[in-house]
Amino acid sequence: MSFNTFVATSPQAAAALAQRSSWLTARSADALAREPAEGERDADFALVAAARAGQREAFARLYERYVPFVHGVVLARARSSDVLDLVHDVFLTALRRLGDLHDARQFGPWLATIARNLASDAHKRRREVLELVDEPRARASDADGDAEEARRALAALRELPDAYRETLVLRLVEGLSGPEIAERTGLTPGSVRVNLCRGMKLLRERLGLPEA
Amino acid sequence: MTNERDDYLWDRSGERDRDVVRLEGLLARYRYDAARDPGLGGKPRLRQPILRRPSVRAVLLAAGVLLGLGLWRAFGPRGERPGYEVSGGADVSRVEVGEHLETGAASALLRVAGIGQVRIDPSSRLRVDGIAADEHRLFLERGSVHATIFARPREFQIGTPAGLSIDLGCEYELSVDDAGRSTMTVTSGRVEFAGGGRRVVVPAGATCQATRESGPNVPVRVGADPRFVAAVRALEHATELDSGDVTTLVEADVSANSVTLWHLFLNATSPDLRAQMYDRLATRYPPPQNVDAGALRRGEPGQLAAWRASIEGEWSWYGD
Repeated sequence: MSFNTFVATSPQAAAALAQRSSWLTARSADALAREPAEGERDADFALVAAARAGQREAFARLYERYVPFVHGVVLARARSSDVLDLVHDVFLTALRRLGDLHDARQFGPWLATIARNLASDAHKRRREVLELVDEPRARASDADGDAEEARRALAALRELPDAYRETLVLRLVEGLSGPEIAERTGLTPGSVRVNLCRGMKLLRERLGLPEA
Repeated sequence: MTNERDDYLWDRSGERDRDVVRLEGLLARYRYDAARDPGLGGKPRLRQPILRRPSVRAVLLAAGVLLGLGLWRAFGPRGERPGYEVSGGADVSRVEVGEHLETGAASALLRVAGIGQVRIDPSSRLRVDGIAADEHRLFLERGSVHATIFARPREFQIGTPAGLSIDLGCEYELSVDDAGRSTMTVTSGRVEFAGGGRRVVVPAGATCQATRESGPNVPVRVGADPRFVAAVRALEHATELDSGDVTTLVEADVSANSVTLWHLFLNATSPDLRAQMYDRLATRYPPPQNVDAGALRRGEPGQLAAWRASIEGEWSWYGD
């Protein structure tokens, strides 16, 4: 049975998918302005527990919920052309080691640790004979110079200190809110807010933008 | 340090920060894009052969390296068909549907974007039979592979001369010897193996073999007592039962060997042996209520589903 058929024939799967859609695709200001709902945290906890018990669909749901987050953590450290493969490796590793995760509520921070380690390992292993330029995806709506400006901005982000880099990538690239970043990484909201603000200050300086 | 002017950066509330908005717009092109990720049911992501990446071509040309038209034709149109990138010791760097890859002295790694990877051991030969959005089919002609699969159940299959392995999740080794006999050992998750009119489910920590003639044999735990294994092999196709072998099975720990006893109950040739396996299993896994006990004891398929769930549900996904 294909995934779409499974969703179409299972009310539970359809409900979970609707929940996923509202979380994943609704990037409106209203959606991002709110704290992650208690229901979403409970849903994650239940999914992790189900995945640990061997329910593959539960792991697939976790993939959908966490892939933008993992993508951001990896993007903060690796070339964008390598990111999808590394994201793939992160989830493979998580699948293998899920039995080692004793506290299902720590899934996000645990996943982030795997992502950081794999991305760092890949970065260390990479020895390019030829310099391959990190190319952003061109878009039809691009104004002249946007692609180059985007490349400069990402490069500047990646040069920020560790504490600020990942948090800002998750906010500015992946579109996660500060509360969502706190929930996923396990950092306190206060720490995330400080990282965002200090990081943005440094980023403005490096990009030559006037202070806010 | 933080104030209401940071609210937009924090959670997009308050007054919009012009620089933050501008950066969000520019950097969105690097954002995770579900449409390009086959992990959500999209088309398999095709990595461009490295020589087609514009930046690499530019550098090679600048260094005075000329790409011949034949080389371009070899990598250009062919790269549009579904296929997998291969790294390591294989004879090809990319393999498409209908093609083979063969390893020599070194192993190779086949990346199945979005669903997993297959390590192909030295001296192995593997064929790609089919690639679709929700189906990946390989065929192992000889040698061995180690698969780590993160796809939804049944999306990934590896055929062998002795039968078909169907991934139910998620890590296992499969080998084929020169006589076409297959051996499967599951590290985590479980894998179904079908052939010769038989079907077995091999959970983590168990192993089975298969031949062209008879399909898969009854799975046993990795590290099971050799006397127990010998008794299983002696009895699973026997019509006349050796009492010593039966005693060995009956005295074995039911919980630790449930995968073997369950498959003997389902597949043993002797009705008497199947009945004895039913009795042993029932001491640990009470048969469900509201079913025809006689039909269940005889292994009639219509009665098995609930009992199967209670027994298979106890098999670990992690081999512990």
